[in-house]
Amino acid sequence: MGHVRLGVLPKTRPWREVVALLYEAPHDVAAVASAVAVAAEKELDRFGAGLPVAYGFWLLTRLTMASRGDFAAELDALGLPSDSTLSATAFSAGLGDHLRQTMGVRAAAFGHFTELASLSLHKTLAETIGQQGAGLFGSTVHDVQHAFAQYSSGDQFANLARRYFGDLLARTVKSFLDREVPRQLGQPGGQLNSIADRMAFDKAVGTYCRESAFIVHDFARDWYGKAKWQTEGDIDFARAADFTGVAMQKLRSELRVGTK
Amino acid sequence: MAAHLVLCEGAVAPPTPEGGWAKLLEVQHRGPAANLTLKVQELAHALNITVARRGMDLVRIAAYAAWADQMVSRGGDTDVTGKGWPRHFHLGIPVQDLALWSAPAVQWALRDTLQLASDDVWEFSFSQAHFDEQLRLGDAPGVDPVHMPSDADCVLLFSGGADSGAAAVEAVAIEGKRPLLVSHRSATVADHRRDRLLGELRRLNPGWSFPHTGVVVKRQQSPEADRSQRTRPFLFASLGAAIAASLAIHDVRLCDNGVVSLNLPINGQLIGAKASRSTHPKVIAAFNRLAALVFPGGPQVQNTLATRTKAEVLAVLRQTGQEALLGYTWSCSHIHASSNATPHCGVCSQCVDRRFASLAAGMEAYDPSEQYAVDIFTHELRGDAITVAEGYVSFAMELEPLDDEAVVAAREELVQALPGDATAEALLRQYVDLVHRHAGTVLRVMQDQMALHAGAALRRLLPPTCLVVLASRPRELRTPALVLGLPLVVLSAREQAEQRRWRFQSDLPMYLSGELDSRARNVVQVGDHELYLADAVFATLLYLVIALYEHEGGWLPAPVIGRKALEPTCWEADDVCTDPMVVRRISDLRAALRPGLGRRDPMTVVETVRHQVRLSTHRRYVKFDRKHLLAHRASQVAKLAKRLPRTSPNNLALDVVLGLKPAS
Repeated sequence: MGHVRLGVLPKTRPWREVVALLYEAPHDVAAVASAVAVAAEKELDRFGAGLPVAYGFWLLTRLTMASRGDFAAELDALGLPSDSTLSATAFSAGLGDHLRQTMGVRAAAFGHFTELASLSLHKTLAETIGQQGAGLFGSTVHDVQHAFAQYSSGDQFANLARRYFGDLLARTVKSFLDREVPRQLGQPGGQLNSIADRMAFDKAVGTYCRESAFIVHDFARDWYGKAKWQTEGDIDFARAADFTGVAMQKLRSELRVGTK
Repeated sequence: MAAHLVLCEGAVAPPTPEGGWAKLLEVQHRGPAANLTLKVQELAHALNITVARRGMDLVRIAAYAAWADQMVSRGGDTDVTGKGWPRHFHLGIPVQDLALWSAPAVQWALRDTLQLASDDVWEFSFSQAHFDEQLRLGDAPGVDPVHMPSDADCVLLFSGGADSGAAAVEAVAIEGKRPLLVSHRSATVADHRRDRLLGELRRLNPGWSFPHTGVVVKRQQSPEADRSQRTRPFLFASLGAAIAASLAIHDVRLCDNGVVSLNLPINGQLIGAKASRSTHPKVIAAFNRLAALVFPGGPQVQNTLATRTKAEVLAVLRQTGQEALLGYTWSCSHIHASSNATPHCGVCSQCVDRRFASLAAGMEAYDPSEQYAVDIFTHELRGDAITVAEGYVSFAMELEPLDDEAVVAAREELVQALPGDATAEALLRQYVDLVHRHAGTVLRVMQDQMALHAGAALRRLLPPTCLVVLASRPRELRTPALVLGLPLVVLSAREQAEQRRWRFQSDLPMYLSGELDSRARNVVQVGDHELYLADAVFATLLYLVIALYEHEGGWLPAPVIGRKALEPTCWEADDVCTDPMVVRRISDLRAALRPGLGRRDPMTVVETVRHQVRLSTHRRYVKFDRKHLLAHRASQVAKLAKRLPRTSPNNLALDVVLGLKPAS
């Protein structure tokens, strides 16, 4: 491995509660996730609904909208690779580059969230193709179009949005918890005593976060239907950004409810 | 976010942007007030070579960027969202070839390379330099004229680590190349060790003298505000390219094994360049785009080890009979804390990687555990040490059993390393294969170490935080989702409240796949157990599952279960149903489920209370494959399946449930 820069959780009271839960009750993933939502409230509000996350979501809406029309023209307009024979892997790589380059100098204002949004975008794209029985390997931009076309109804688009925000939430929470979880391994009286425990915990928290994203499902369905109708299929970034703000609030509230 | 303005060599400040500058820094390597050292050593006495102005501009830009990189903090260790990690720099630099550096394409390539390597945002204002500066790699007596740098056919960036050492050996002993070695000198201890390695390299490979130049780029006076040095590879590559261009050499080698090169995160907090990108394929590609503009038709950087694991790289030393060189290389990032007795700390990411690789390559004799201050396998690990060591092993445990698609899904960073062109898919396959080989190697080493120390572990002589114990202990954590073997089910807060409100007594995960076994019975997964139900019993279960969606608390009036409408009076007041058909079906269902219930009482899983019956569990615990059930050969089951909600998160195909495909 190359060099890595590691950090720890802050010593503030809310974060100390997260650490205490990891020591005493890591099995209660709802309580752990809730404590994280409380401790990271300001950061999630400030960054979670920021430009990179909103832009990633907006790209998903544009791709979905365009999938039943002139997909190549939309990709050209967005500055994405449009050759229908290009592999889906190359397209996905181009999507990440596009997000990073679009953020440009603004990326510095959003901490890790440009990177997190980019990774969630890759993941959502791969899963979208995967749902059509294909895989990232062997698929082309044409298959990407076909896959997105299956998500152009309100209900299906809601699934897409849920996947994107669920993955983002899971990555974000993991990025916080991973500062402490390994340090808890093998501690006297602690509940995490092996690498197997750590992996099980990771999986449970990830699943919990992804399932928490069901909270945005209905909201996304209704928003998409309305936005599509009002804009005649030309959803602009501002509208997607508004959605992202509300969606992230919902997600944070959903996580926070865990301890009640 | 306001930018940090860095004025280099007295450059005139650009117009102040709205919001002002975050910080003003001044750097110069010329004159009495110099706070940056930039010198080329050794070769200054070797040959008359001049690094041309363009190359010198590139080296100075890289040196200023490296200086600025160390002068602005990236936020403290407790910055959980990385708000301080990406910084915004604006460098004002006088250059000798202003036309070149003012070109938008050159500026774009420069910004892109630096941003990819560092996560920072870089902007530049170039002005015309009023000095004429060239690096003279001077003339020298006493150097073997046969091995002058003019004979070199490639430039190899030489850090003194095992990878660059093996790359040098491979270039000379296998490929027959004549590399000129270029090092970035910044620490005296490192220089001393590199010189010893160089001496041994020359002794073992007498056919080539390995001409070497060390370039000193060092911050003076000012204290360091950040130690991550993510721009260092750009400086390294710039030095190599500038020197290569002066010698009309096209082949510049910046070598790390492929796993280090990709540096996939071993921990969730390692986002972006927090896992360094010193030789990341994307950084090298970006640098080459820049190099092509600065030196048209000139040098290009390549990593000849990019498709190999570290163990495979060390095999080069064995193949050439130069295993002993491993003992002269060092990898530790804590160079100032090391000693001659234990040159490796043992716990930084580089040491952990080296230890696993030398064991995997069977070269422990040249890299003995005594050379490591901490033995990760048997010593107590704390803090960053346990984070790195555990992350390294769990990375391998997580990825080794996965198929190619699943590896990519688990590390999307692999896609980020790809170019957006026709080569992407083939490269991705190479990367996945590399990850598989690396993970397999790590697990084999762990198995060997666990076997080696099994006796000590059994006698509890090992600390609970050493790798051998951490990897040996079975899973004990029981989250609600991990009660049994079915995929994870974690109730949301709202669902937990519902579970309590309705006093559901079971949290066993179930899955109704609609599959039939060889005897045409319905396969139902209950926790770890696969159960087989006859159609009538299966239909009863399906009724109860549907009731979880259609009736409050999942309570189903008993008559609905039967084929004919039964009167509620079939139930006795004491919760006992007297209708023989209903009684028999409930009883059959409980009997069928019993093997999967462990210690649970079937009466608490299939509950009957006052003419009502229910499956006493939250609906989130019961997954089903609606599509498959709709095609069931029993019309009663197929008809019932229509009532299962299509959009429920519980509606999952078997391969999704088994984790073979991602959930929708």
